[in-house]
Amino acid sequence: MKKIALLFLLLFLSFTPSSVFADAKSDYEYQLAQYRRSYSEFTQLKRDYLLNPTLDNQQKSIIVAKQALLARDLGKAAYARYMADLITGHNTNYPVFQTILTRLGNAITFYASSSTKSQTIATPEDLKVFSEQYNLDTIVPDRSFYYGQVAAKLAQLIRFQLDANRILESIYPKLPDPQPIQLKARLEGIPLLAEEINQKIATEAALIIPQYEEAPIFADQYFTRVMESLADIRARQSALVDQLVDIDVNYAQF
Amino acid sequence: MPNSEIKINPEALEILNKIKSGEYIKVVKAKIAPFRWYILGAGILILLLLAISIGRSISRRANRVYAPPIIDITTTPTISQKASVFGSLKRSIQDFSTSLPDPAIPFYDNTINLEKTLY
Repeated sequence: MKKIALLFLLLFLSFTPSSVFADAKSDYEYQLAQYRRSYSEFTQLKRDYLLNPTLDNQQKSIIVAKQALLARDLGKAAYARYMADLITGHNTNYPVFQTILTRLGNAITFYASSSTKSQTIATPEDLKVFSEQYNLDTIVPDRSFYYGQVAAKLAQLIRFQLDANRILESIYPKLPDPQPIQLKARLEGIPLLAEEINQKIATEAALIIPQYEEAPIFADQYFTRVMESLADIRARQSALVDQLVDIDVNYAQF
Repeated sequence: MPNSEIKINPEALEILNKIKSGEYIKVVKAKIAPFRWYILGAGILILLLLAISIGRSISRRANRVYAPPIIDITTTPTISQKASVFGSLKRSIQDFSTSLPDPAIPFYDNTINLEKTLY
């Protein structure tokens, strides 16, 4: 009896779809591959239809276009989920990120709604009207990707700050008492450095969403400025950790 | 018999006479003669061992030379560096990539339609 139960369990596990265990990243990669495949097929059928506009070619193109629309919105939703996962994965609970997570959540809702709506398309005219409206409506949800990118990077830097603070607190009891003058001076300098970094992060976090959100975002400009700021924060964190290593190696006792 | 006359033991006198005449040496020689080669061999062996012993002591004295220190070779001192608890955090910061977008934002066509477009 036990053997039969075990056999059923093994059969169940072998037929369970692998997506059950998929994380946000692998889901996004899968959906993107699906979109690329269906979009490539649509491009081919569209070319055939424009060269030979028969009813049969039209129907085939519409069917594949709907598949491409579905795959596109599922792909975008998966990407937004992946961004949200990257931000929350660092467990920072940074208040500014809540706004970004809300934006990403709204985007996921929009893509889900759009993926359902697109399946009602029946004619090339329907497809045209749908796409024209979609092209306008998707601007704000698509921007959440940019915001998510920056928020995920800042979340990682905040995690470094939190980790540094946690480890420093763990070595405090190991420091000599009374503290030598040099050690005291270094310990007094640490919070100042940390505060500078925190301020830099806060400034950058406040700039994630541009003041004039309606203005078009140019990826190169938007990301280049952020990358420079990230490099500056990283350099400061590196200097801070060097000081912490020095305190740990030279003063902390076992 | 006068008191000043010396009395000599007749047996000692006999031995003395034998020594004077060389008869006693002949007796001793006769006793040693069968073992003479053994005695000669042992003598040579003792001489050899003595020679080796003397030679070794001389060579030890000759080899007692003190080499000067080689000043070109510098030995790096081994410093026991304590591993810091901040080590992994330091590596994480060093490995942190500042490049954006990361991962790249995929391109999606927002204007899927069946209209003629320029490719």
